[in-house]
Amino acid sequence: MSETMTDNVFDKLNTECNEYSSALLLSTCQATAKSGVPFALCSDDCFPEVHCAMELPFWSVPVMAGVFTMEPQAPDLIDKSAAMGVGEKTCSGLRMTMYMVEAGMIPKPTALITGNICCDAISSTSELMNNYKPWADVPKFYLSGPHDKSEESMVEFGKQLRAAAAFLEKTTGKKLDMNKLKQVCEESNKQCQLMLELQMLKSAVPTPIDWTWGRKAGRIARWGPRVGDPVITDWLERLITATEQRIKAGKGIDGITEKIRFNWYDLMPTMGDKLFPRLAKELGAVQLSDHQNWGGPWTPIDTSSEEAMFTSFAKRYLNDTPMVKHAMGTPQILSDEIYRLYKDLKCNAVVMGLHIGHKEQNAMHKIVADICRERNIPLLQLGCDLWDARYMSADQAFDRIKEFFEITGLSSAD
Amino acid sequence: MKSGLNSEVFDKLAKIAGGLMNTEIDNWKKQGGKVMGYLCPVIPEELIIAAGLLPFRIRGTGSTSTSIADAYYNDVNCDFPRHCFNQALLGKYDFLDGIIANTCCDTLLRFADNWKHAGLKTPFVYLLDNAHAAGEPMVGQFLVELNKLKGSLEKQFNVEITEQKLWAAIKLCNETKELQQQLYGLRKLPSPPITGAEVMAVMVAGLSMPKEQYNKDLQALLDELAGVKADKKYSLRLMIVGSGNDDSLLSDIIEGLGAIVVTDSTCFGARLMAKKVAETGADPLYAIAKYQVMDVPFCPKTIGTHPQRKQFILDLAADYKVDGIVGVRFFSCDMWGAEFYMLKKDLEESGMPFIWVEREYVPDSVGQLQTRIEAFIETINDK
Ligand code: SF4
Ligand code: SF4
Repeated sequence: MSETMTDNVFDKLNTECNEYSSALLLSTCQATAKSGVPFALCSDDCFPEVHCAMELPFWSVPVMAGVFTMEPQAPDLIDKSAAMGVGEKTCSGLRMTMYMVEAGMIPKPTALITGNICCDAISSTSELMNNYKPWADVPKFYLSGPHDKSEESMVEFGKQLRAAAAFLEKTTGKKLDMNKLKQVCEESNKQCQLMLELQMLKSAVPTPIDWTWGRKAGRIARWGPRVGDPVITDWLERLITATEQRIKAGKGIDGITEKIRFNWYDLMPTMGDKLFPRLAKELGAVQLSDHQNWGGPWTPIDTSSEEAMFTSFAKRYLNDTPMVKHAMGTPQILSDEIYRLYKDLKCNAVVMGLHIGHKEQNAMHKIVADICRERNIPLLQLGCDLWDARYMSADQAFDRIKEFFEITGLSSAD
Repeated sequence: MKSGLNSEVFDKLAKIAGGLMNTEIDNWKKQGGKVMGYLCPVIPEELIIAAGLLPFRIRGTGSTSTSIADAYYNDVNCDFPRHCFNQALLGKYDFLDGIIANTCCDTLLRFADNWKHAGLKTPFVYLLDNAHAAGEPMVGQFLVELNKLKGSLEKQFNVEITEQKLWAAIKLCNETKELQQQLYGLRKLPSPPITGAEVMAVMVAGLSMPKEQYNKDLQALLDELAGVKADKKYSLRLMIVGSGNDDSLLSDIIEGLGAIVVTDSTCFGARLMAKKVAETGADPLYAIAKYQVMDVPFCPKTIGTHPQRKQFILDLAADYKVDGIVGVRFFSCDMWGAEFYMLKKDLEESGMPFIWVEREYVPDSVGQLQTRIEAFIETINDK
């Protein structure tokens, strides 16, 4: 249970969030398949607004598997994937995903969209899904995401996304009503603004709520079937009101005396549920990131025309979506975001997870470290496996982070 | 690599392949020529040549350690670019007037950033955004990227890359491919006059010197080989499949065990020359883009192309009467991991013996590789 649960309203919000985010689960996907309803799978959710407007059940296989890494059987599945020989230094979450596909755990979709976005492991998983024999007759669409950030590239990629939406219409029989899409986008714009507000509220000292709320908000406002649904807007508004009340009352996270404020700059690891509460409890070190910045800012969707909407989806997908913007962004983009969060959230330090799968971040670790040094940001680059705590356990990570806080003078050695 | 060829021209090419800077580049530079390093064959040599530059495919040849580069990369990163970068940090690439990197994998993606960050004095550092899916709609997108690169080259080197220059460069590169295809053709013979390790050296040299001279040298070598009476018996005819193997490590092991490498699907080998760019059409840059996005034998960076990759390999295997295939993957290469898993299943179905091994760019020892390949050869021989 989260530290903020003493307020009833947070209990209620949590219950609702669990209900909404159950849509992301593998079991929900399996039940949908069983019911015979058409659904699509993808190698990464490229346009939640579109499939929500189409009311098309849609799952990102890596996200589904990422959520599954919290399950007790995940380490066993990761071990089983070793027999495929895809390589120990490939993202363990994706090794597990590949195994789940090959083991028939992922139901056969009505349509499949894959692409290079956002990393080598996802590209590799895409190709595996494209060639999985039991899915040979599934209609497939391939996306080629640019690394270039120019407007021209965004417009071009927007066209690919438009073609992907047309592909979904053709293959699933679901129609994309542009008026409905516009409504979803306008509501989603509000939701993204609220997520940013929530992030900024966490800059209060002491921070009013723990890190899990950012993750919850991101999960239901940017993933799954309720993106752009007013129910989520209402949920976010109530969360913000309740958070503001805690700030007014000068309340920090329950049971924690805040001493250090730090930003974990990576996706939240499966060990996070152990690691972050322990850091908060024993060192007063509060983690402020909302799942590698799901809070945004997100590009507002320009609803003035169909092309404008799809260009905005391209920007949201490539430039704003955590994991994608980090894997495909430049070292400067990464460093600037680290700096902004460090300043805005009034942090004392930054810990980069530097997940083994993140080849691109590992390949620019020096650049980021040097930029952080120039900006006087105390930075620890950990080198963990986000999805397999056996590579670096919560206790090992705790010791490293504790030592870092001591070396940087943020906490004392006793 | 020990060569059994008694050929001066081969020795010259092998020497070029065995190092980075070479006398051909030296001569080129003495005449005021400029050299452009590039990482991956998706970066068109034709465009570099049309800009009046000498394309040099970056490799890690001669590297013994990644100790300096490791300040920039971690050990989860593939060591091929790490060795290349280490060579650059040691000044071995100071002869380059520019580099073009690309977005083919997440480790190479940062090559240009690190190059700049390290303060290497190369005046031109460029990142080309390559396509990650095949097909007509992608041609237009890649053409946009090629036009951007063209503009940057023109500006940096104060040249005009005309259509005429592009067509001429396409023709020149196609001539190279034609000669290389002839070289590969000799390997279809029951007793090829040239080994896999020797061919690898010839191919690598072609990426490290002016094409005109290379074509002359290669033609001379072909003439010599035509007169060679080869009658050596090999236990097996094998094929190598993988990515940026710029050395003869695998061929040396295989050929040291009495078998011969008769063909490959690698990006320093057959994938470079199996197909040509169209020599006519409305726009030469379009012809290059189309080749790269629709016609080239794809590597796994291009999503949705595994069936073509498999077919390319199977066709080569049939053409060259291959007895077995050895896949080779650099440790940490995510792109080739799932690829070999799929290929293994495909090749099993078609009854083609297949093994895949992992290597370091500069292995501490080849003992383990050797043992695995030896066992593979024995299994095929026992059948
Ligand atoms: S971006 Fe990172 S966490 Fe996501 S799939 Fe790729 S390697 Fe794994
Ligand atoms: S071998 Fe693989 S990881 Fe290494 S540079 Fe090539 S594509 Fe990248």
